Order: sequence, then C-alpha cells, then structure tokens
Amino acid sequence: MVKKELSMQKLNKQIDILLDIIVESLLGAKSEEEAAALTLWPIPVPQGMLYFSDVWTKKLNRVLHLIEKRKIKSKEILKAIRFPSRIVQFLWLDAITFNNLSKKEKLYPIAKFLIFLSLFRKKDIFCENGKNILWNKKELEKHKRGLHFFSGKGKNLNKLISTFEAILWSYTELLYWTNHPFGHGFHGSYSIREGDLVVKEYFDLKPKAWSFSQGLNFSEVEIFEIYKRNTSSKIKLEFFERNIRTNQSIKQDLEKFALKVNGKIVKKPEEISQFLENLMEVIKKGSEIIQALNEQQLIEKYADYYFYAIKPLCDLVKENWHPPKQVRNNIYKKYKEINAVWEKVVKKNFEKTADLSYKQQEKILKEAFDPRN
Amino acid sequence: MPKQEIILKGIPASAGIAKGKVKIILDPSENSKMKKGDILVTEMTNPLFLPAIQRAKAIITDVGGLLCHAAIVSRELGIPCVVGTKRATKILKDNQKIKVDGEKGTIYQDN
Repeated sequence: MVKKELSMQKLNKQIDILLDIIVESLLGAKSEEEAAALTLWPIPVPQGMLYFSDVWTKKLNRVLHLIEKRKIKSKEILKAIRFPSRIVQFLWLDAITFNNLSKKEKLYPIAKFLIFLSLFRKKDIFCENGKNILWNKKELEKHKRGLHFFSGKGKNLNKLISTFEAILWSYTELLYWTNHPFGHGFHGSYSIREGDLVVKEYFDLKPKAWSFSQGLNFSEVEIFEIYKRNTSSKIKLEFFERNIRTNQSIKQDLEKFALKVNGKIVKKPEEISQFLENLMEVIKKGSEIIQALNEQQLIEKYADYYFYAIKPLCDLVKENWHPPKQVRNNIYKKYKEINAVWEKVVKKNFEKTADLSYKQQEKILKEAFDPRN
Repeated sequence: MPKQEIILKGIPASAGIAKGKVKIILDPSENSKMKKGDILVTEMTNPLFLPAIQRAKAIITDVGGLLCHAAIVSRELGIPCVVGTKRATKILKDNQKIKVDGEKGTIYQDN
C-alpha cells in the first residue's frame, strides 16, 4: 500500500513537471495574440483528436495491459520502440487527455511511458541539464565505429549537410505533420575527445500510410555532428528533444559530420547530393497529394499515422495497429456532429485564450492538458 | 550613417542579416514566384513551401514562434528569419527592397 502511494506521489510530481513543460512550450511556440495549437499545419491538433483520441487511448491501454500481462521484459519493449521520440510525442498528452475516458485509463499509459522514457534516458527523464543522453560510453563507441567523417568547416560541405537536414526535417513534417518526432529523434550532446557530439536519427521515412513515401530510396538516416567544444552552451536539448532556447544557428561551429543511410556508412558527398535529389522528388509528389486532400481525408490520414505510431507496441502482442472502424465512422458518418463541437466549442475556447494574459492562458492550458482532471 | 527606419518587428527566430527583394507567397502554388536571393514573406510556412524556402535569402512570417517550421528550417539553413510579425504580408509589398535582422527581429527599408 505504502509503495503504491509513493509511486502515485512520484507520478503526480512527474505529471506536474510535464504540464509545466507542455504549457511553456505551447505558449513559447507562438507569438502574442495567437491561440496556441490553432496555427498548426495542416489541421489543428485538437480538431483531429476529437475523432479518435478516445479510441486510440483505449487501444493503447489494451495493448499496454497485454504487454504487462504477458510479462514482456523492458529490454524487449525498448528494443521494439527503438526511438524514444515516438513516446515523447505521446507525452504531449493531447491524445491521452482530450477525451472522456476515466482517470485510470489516462494515467496508466502515461505512467508506462514515463517508465520507458526513464530507461531510455538513463533516468534523466526531463533532460534537466539540457542533455538528452541515450547512449552510454560503450554504446556510443559501437555506433561511432567505422564512421567516415567529413569536415564541416568548408562552405560547400557545410551547406550540403545543412540543406539535407533542413529538407529531411521538413520531410518528417510532411509525413507526420505536427507529430514529426514520429520520424526523428535527436540526442546528446555527448562530450567526446573531438568535441561535442549531437546525434540526429531519422526513421520510418517510408510509412505505408503514404504511398508517395515509397519512392524514397532510404528509410533511415543517422547523422553524427561534432561541434567545437563548448558549443554545447548553445546546444540544449529539452524534454521534447528540441534546441529551443536559442535563435542562433550552430552550424558555423560544426567541426565534422558523418552519416549512415539505411545503416550504411556514407563515404562520398555526392551520395548526400543524390539522397537530397531523391528526397526533393518525393516531397514534390507528396506535397501535391496532401494539397489535394479535403478536411475529412486529412483527419483520416492524421488518425492513420497516429495509430501507426503505436505499431511497435501492437506488434509485441500481435495486435492489429490499424484504426478500428469506429474512427472512419466518426470521420465520415459523424463528421457534421463532431465538426460542430470543434467549430462551436473547442475552437472558440482556444480563440478566447489569445486575448488573455500569460498567467491566465497558463492556467487554462494546464487544466485542459491535466489527465487528473 | 543615417539611422535606418524600422518598418516591422517580430520574434527573432534565426540570427543573421540579409538584404533582398520581398516576395509575398500566400499559397504554395505561388512558389515559382520566388527567385534565388528573394526574401520570402508569408503567413506561416510548412513543408509545401520548401521550393520557395530553398531560394530564400531570409524568411519573414505573420505568425509563429521559435519552434515553428520557418524558425527551425532557417536555423538549419543558416538564413535570417523573423516570425510572428502579425502583419508582414499586409505591410510589405512585392519587390520592395528590405533588410532583415534575424538577431533583433527587425525589418528595415533598404533604399
């Protein structure tokens, strides 16, 4: 009993910290007189969530309970998830909280995700020192072994890697929209002999939910960047793996970089140019497809990839990851009804917050995102 | 040197200074309007604006903060960016010559 109370106390404390981070991020990510979450492309998060967050959270509960019941080891769970940014994204709490499910159904997945994240991040869940450390020394050595480093000092190579990363990052946004961390994760900085190392992993770049993505010649990219020692004062990765505390580009301090594409070490700059060219072609095609979708189709896609993001967990217990029929029904048969809730209630409430003071907005958002309410 | 007049202010999202001609792009279908070295002015960017972004010398948006698409991509590309100006697309005009200071978040007339 005492143990249960202590773990509840711990969870409450962690949720309080999480709410601080979420609200600070939401309010810091917008300019004044702008309602948080309404300017997101291509549809506002709360709008999409209205159609599937309860179904999704229920499914998640079932899958996590099955994992627990079948006593699947943590090591296997982490191996299946592979990239913690996937679960970090769920800890925005929007899908888990924006529904009428019970407190128990909301808190269970949050508690589980925080445990997984603690294991991934070597117990430092909230990246308190501005570092997101996933690899110990041994793991770091293993990943660095055999890498071919290019100099980051020359203008041409620096520009090539900068452009590749900007386009790659945008591509994950094209695939997963506001949930782009379903396709990338950043960690570090690791203090190594040559300087400060930041690792950028891009994955799931060819999800089946998007036919256009199948034209891409690669599905995973790992980028290793070594910056001048002490640049780390500018590299501060926070909970959501973003370097948000600066408006400075750190690329001028890039000493060297290396890449692995589909696990293969890249040895020539021309290869990067070819990847970039292929990426641009796929983006062009994808942009055309997305632009042609109507609102219902956009919401359907949103649901598809949100369910797809829990596929690694579903696979562990051999569950079908696809959204159940109910989601399509909500989107196509109950569209008018649900859209009216969005237009007349939720959107209006969000819009009203734009005129309020920071303190007032903070209070409203914390209440809205709190799974304990 | 005479003090330059600030014509617009916003959130400094990516440091650096750039001069160029304004190109207002309100929809990705207008991406081809952008010529290399122009300054992209839009409400907010998303991946559909990539062809325009790649040609841009700087980016200015009406909405957004330090975490928006324009801010992140311009920091990666190392080009100046000012976001959350609220009215850049209304105040600035196509082909107007301006100077963007991404460190201070200010936009000047450049004669």
